[in-house]
Amino acid sequence: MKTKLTPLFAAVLGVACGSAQAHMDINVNGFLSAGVATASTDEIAEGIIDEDATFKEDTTLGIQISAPVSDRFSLTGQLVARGTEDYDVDASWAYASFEASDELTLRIGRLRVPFFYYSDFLEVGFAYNWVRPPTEVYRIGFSSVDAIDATYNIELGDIESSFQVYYGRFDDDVNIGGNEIPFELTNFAGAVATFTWNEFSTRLTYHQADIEAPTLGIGTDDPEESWFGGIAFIYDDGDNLAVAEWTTIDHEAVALVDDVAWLAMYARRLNDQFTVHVTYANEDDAQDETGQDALINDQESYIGGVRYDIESNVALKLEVKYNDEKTRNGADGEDGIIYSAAVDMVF
Amino acid sequence: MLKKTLLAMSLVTSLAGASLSAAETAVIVHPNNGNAALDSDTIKKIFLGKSKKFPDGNEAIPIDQGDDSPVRSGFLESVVGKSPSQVKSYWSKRVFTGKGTPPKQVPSGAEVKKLVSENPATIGYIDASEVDGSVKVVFTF
Repeated sequence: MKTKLTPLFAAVLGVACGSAQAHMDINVNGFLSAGVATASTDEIAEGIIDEDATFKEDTTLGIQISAPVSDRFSLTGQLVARGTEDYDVDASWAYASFEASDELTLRIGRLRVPFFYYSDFLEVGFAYNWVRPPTEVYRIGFSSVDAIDATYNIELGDIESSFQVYYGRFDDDVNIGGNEIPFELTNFAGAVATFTWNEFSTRLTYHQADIEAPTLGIGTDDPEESWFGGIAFIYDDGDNLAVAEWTTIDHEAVALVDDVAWLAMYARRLNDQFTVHVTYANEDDAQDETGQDALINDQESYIGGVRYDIESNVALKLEVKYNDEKTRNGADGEDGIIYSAAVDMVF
Repeated sequence: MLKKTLLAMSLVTSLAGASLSAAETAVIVHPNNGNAALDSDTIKKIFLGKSKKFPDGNEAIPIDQGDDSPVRSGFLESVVGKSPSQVKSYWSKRVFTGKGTPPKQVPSGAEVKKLVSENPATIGYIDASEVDGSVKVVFTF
């Protein structure tokens, strides 16, 4: 994931600034989340957060450039620097887009993998209420894939529908427990269907890939298959937001553990400035092969937080999370509290 | 000849719109725009980027007012059904997923009227008291 792109980053910015006067349609947008968190004990696992003030977990900067190249072609690039990756710049989006018709859009390049409801804007903290999406469910150590995809949007009566399919490949390091492990995912494909009817939405998703990770002994003879499935229900009337998201991962490889993880969240907008929210999240690993005992993690957590919209594009968030780790790496786990604060901006 | 008729018709329409009430907000298009009237749902979809065309099939380009415009918050609450911060959050999701960009914002109603009077694809909203023959009213609230 740590593609060094600093010279490119500078070059792209330079081009964007240089030609902005000539082409009014170039859009430069950005987002910043800056956070600090601390845990009541080092014995619980929540990213890189420990008993001391931890800044890198929730600090992320992103710059996005998009430009219509013609009536039907456009390009989009999003460069993200994450505290968890020592602010190395990484391209999360880098794609060419072709509007084949009003309903159908084709894209090729680097895309976000649409595993989760919040995947597409995973790092744009301003777009959700949490300081960070619950790590029990949002547990996949990478978020982009090099792929081609097609998105078809259509209104079926009162129902707004969107269908996305993609096929691609991932070949990069994945951060697993602080270690960068090389992974290769081929025949990486998936589909997402989203239906919105007034305040109600539902999202169905399925993904699969052939995995090779020699340092973990995965796919040393033949690639081993993995599957991901998910369903989410969303209610959003502007003042009340409820999201329930259930996901499951099934691996052929013994070195990777199958699991089920889900969350239920409710947020209430009190007025134009204050929103309060509560969340329950649960992760349950399933041992389906011998030799997986030491890999099993089971935990549930409760999150309560408040979001204060200081300006129309600046939000301050405070959050308390109680982690109850029933099993950690096959042994009895601990429980503890994580306190987090963040400021999120977009421009 | 047709052009003159259209212009005359739009003058009548816009004068009618202007005379309803000075406190009203008018949604305006170019006098040559073929759509006689638009419903709030159509306008909402155009301003949220969900629809890029007018009902007659021609391209639609929404023009928004600045964040501090008093007409804007009324327009967003009444027609779009969202508060200004909800609209910001909506567009931050669209923008950072490459699904679209928010409408261009201009500082005043006069600026909106000028742009709309120059381009048949545009649609904007202004205080009804600012309406004149250079634009056509398709919705008021």
